[in-house]
Amino acid sequence: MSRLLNNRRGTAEIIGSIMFLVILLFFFTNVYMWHDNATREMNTALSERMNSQISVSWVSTAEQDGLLNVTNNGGTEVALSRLWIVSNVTQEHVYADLEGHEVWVAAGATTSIEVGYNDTRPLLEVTGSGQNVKVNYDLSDAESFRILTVRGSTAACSYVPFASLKGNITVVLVGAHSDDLPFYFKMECLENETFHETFYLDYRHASWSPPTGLGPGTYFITVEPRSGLNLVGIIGASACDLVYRKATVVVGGGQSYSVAFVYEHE
Amino acid sequence: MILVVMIGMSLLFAFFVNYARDFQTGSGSAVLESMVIEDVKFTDSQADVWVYNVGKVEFKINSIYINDALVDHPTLVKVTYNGVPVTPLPADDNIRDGAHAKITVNHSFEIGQSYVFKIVTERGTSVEGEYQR
Repeated sequence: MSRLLNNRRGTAEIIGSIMFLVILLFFFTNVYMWHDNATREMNTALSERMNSQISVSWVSTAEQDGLLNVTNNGGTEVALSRLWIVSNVTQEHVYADLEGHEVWVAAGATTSIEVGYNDTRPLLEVTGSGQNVKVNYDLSDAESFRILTVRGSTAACSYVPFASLKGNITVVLVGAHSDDLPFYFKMECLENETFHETFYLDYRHASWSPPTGLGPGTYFITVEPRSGLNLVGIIGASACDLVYRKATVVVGGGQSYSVAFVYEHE
Repeated sequence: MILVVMIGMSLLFAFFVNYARDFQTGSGSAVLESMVIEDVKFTDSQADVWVYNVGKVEFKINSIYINDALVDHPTLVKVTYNGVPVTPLPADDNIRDGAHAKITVNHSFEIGQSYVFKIVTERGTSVEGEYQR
């Protein structure tokens, strides 16, 4: 050892080599840590995208107006980036940029985008922000909507014109009876045989007041676009195929019965 | 001799520094790339493909395949960022993170047919999706 230390040239070579290796190690470590950090960053982005999947549905509220309800089915809030509108008439694909309008959908919440036509405005224009965002578009040309989030998730739904949502449902209830309130009709809306949305019609709605409880009989329900669930006997309809609806009636005590019904377009 | 060793080590050092930088800006950054195809619009002889850069780095579209066949000369025709069109278009065709880009490809498309689009970036990241005309 003392011989080695006394050899100045040898000591310098060893120290120099070690320093060089340390510098190289520093660089490799730096690159490795950068790569590790980048991978972690992208994994986080991916998990956030997976945890902010959205679904979207369309509700016509008037001839040229409606609401695009965007629901965040995940646990992480997400901002909306674009609304794509595809036209079957003009074969156009147009988009409304929602970035900059701060349209956020909180985890598990639903945000509505008002879409309607005002001919005093440009054909495609986004106004407002947050929960009050509005998109001006002539819906007579629309076929489908597609929402893109800033994380890259997409969801789409079809445009259903206002008129086709109107109709009457006749519910014939046989054998179920309860004198106890509350009771309500629960209409499950299915789209392509997949659960889409549930609507309720309960006795608290002003003009829906059966005299005593719910007995066997025939009940008529008017189906209209959801201009307000406070209207009596009206169930809000959504952008789904009403043919596949199924109805359940829930009576006092929580018992539920499936009921046969007929839906007729107006 | 010491001078030769110093020069050699300096060159070696420079090589490693350069390698690390190339890795970080080149193939190493592929892990930071992520994109989605947000819309495809067909005409008889053309398709407008919108891609959205949801990654952390900018990228450049290198090639587009339709039904596994390489398409000639995909053209970047529009880029928007934060809702605002980017003008003029980036000279290097790079699409920055958070930007939407419209790429036009020339190909014949038949009504009712489905087409698989595969988009590959310069760093090798790819995304694909099937779309019907």
